[in-house]
Amino acid sequence: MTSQLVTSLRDRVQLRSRLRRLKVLYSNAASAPPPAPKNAVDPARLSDLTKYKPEVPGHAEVFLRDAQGLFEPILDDLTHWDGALAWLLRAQEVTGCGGFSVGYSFAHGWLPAYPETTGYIIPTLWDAFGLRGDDRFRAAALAAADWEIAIQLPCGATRAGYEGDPDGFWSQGLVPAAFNTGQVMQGWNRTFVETGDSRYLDAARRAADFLADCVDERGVFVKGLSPGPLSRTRAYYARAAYGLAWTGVLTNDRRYLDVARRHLDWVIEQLRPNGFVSYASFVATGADDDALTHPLAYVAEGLLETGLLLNESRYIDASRLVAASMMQVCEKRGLFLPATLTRRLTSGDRYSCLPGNAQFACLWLRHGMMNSDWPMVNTGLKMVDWLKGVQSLTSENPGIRGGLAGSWPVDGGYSVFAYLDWTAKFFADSLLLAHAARQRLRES
Amino acid sequence: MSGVAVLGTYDADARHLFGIDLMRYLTAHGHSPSAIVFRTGAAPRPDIPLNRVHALDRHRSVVQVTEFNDPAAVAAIRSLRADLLVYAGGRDLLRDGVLEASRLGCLGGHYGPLPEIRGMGTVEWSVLNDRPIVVAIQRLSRGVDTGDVVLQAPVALRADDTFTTIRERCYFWTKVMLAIATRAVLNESIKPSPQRPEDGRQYYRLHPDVAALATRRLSARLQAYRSHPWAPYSA
Repeated sequence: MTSQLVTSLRDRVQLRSRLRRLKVLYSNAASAPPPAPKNAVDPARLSDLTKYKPEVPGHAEVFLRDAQGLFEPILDDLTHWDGALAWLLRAQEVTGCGGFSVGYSFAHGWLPAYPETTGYIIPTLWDAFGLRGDDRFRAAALAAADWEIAIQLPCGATRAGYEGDPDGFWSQGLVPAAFNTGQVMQGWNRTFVETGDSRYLDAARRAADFLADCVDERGVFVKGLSPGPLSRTRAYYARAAYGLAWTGVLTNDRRYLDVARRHLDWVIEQLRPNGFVSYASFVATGADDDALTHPLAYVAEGLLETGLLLNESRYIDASRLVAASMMQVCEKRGLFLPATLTRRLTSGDRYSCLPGNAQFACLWLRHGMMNSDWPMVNTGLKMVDWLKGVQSLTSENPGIRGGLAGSWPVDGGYSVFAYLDWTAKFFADSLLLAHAARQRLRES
Repeated sequence: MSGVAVLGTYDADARHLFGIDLMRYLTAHGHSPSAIVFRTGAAPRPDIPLNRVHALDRHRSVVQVTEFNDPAAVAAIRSLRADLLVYAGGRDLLRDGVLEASRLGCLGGHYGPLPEIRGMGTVEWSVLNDRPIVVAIQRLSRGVDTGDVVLQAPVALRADDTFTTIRERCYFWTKVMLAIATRAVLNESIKPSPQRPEDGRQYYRLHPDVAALATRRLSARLQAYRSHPWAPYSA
């Protein structure tokens, strides 16, 4: 009897520990907000910090703020938006060419101009001009669009990476890049819409001719793959397809629209019922490999914008599925969005990829407002407020003041110790959407 | 012996002093202290001789003192031939003998923006003067908080902060920043900025009524942190 009891107890304990292990493996609630600061920091993190000039004003305070889970004051949307736009204008001014600096690196200072992101920052500048009527934004948009024309490759493409990368990651020279081309086309398209100047549409058309030849019969981008990312199959090119579709509408060229649709139809095949998208990553080599929030958001953005442009509800619905699933991921963790996710939407990450956070804030607000889906608006507003907490408006370092880092904490796992132009761009976009959403809430 | 020597008030066993957080931060920044000059919070430790260099091993030694400015203590500190002294914190007013006992002087922390706010109660006075709460690392000088400024950083706040929690955080940030400043001074990657005495003001301990006003002002300042979505987790 005693031995039976012992055996039964042991079995129960073993079963419980197995179940606990399974729960950890498959649970959605892995990571949560950090606890109150314990006034201690792992010395190993400090060793890393030494490589990033902690003695430069602003560097140590950002590191210590993030390392202890502390945040900046939360002010109104447009105050933070002004800060982000001021940072962007500074990022353009430092290059002196019209292009936007990749960002401010703690190790290297301001980095060279980045063709890809300069392209998609242009619409943000036109939005700023529309809101404030400030000619600085118009001039900045035109300078950026003109620079993109000046560096357009003879084949119509935009180059991969950028010139003068101090880390040597982009050392392959002038390689045509389909994704970058699609982003720059958005800048030209918008500039054409704003100015009516055909030079921009001509540039977009040349780019579209290149881009349309990059997609095979299945709808997969097989040419123009940037040599930087390790992955060879890329669903996040959905955002390039949007640029192509937009040029197709503006030029009334059916071929561009067909190719864009073909690619997005293939992207939808990569979408799983739980909202995970295969190949939404810069490093995935297989369909089951983890996704990163930033390219995953690119997928959802490409589907949403093209869906709205072409009035294709299946693209919009697919985008909404991704957005809704990521909303669950984020809310279940107490408003913490881990940078990478497994195909089961689990994650052990203790850091966020901030461009991804800002992009999903935009997606939640857009889908939320389109459908009067208040829970989605709710998460979007919370994420925007969360992001305000990592934007210093008072840092004495102009590379930090008004900008946003690649990772939270700043020494996380994505573009560490760097303030990126694309985080600032998506954050600025999210602030305008939050501003509109709050207005809608007040009127409802 | 050369390198970095730390001055502080410690009650821990001499063997454990090199495992204290500040020493680990200095090590992480590539400058493990070669000596620790300490006094206890109470009676001196009987196992360590006073005012003499006591070697723990080939690379590390300790010096026990009762008062840092004591001539015998100063002589012992000088004999360490340290490049830089790091004062870990406390209410000691270090005199010339100590400040000149190493090649590059002595670094110390201060909780207030320099040169504006010197002296005591500086966290409260920073709030009362509508200035950021700052940790400053200075090369200590004979005057009160008038040394060359090596590094300054505003300290991040939380919705549920009090002056006590802020001071605790300042203390922690000071230790990390002392490590950063030590490395920067020894590597000459930073040039400390001299202060002019007339650019700041010395503040003194607060009267309870003035302290109450500072508390109300702090509460108003923290209002902007209460709308952070994570604020409920911290409350």
